[in-house]
Amino acid sequence: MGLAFWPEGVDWVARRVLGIQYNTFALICVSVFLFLVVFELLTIVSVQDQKITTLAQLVAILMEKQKLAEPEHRPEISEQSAAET
Amino acid sequence: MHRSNRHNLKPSAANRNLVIVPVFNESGSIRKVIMRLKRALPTFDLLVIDDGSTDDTVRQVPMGVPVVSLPFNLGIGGAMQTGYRYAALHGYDVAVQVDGDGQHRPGEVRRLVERLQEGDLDLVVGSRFLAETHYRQSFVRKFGSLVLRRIIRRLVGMDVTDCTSGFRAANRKVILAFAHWYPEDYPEPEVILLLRRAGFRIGELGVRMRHRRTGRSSISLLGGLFYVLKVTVCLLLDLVRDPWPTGKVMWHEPLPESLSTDLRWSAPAAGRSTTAHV
Repeated sequence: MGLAFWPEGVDWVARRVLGIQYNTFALICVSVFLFLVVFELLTIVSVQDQKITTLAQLVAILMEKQKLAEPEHRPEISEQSAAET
Repeated sequence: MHRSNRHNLKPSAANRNLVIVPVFNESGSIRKVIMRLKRALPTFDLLVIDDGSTDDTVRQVPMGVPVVSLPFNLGIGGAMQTGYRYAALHGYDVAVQVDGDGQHRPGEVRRLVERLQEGDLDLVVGSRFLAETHYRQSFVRKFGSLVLRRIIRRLVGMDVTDCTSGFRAANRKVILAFAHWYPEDYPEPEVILLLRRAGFRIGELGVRMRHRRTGRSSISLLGGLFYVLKVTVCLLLDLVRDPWPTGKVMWHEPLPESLSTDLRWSAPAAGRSTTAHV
């Protein structure tokens, strides 16, 4: 958006502020932009990864709880119900 | 080794102890390991964490032993954190990590717990090298352990003879901390550094271990050097990490006796309180 309002901005910063060539400065800008994009995406992936891990752990714990509640996985309950019948 | 608090020893029956056995494709050894643990530790609860095994490891676990089966492989860190979350939710006082490959002797578990119950430590690490135990390691592993030992000593001023040992017993405080956050890839050395930085008390106890007979080690010989490099970078990053916020409730207490009530915990990343209704 900044470049849309001030198209010569890159050239001005390159020559007047930094004293380097336009091409070099443009390459640096693009590189920094790409680096920031990758960094941002990695941060998002990392947070999502943590959430998925937590979710998987909770699902596994809940599944274990459910399996234990089933009579066939609890020998003492099965034996008791068999004796009653 | 401190023995001064021995008179404070609580009777083991009063404590609820959980043995966490993380497994990944250990079908050849898990049954024997569980049977040995049940025989040697009749008063301890057992929990098997199946880290997404692709063989019939789960079927080899004897009936009556709870198995938390992760839907996919999370690595040793994710598997162990599941165990600590289970321990936190079910109100266990002590959690002991025992590998599913049969390297850790059940008889030594009791010694670890007794050492922990002396009260002057929060985490007791079973060390193969504290005393003469005739445990043989490959050159790469020996080199890696030595490097990591020196790095940890340099960074936090603590000499840990066996920082890669996964044989460890944690008290309630540490269980809650691990339930909140636990390193993912190669957590053993990182945990020591981070716990030390967070003010927890860590100690070692000389234990005897067996060599693994079945399955495959999570750290291959070829990957040894990469392991050391990676852990070194992680340890350096851990110097600026704050995984266990001091003075804040990490997991809500008192914790529910069963999962039929609410499960509540603070999400580590976002710091939001999460509630799951079962």
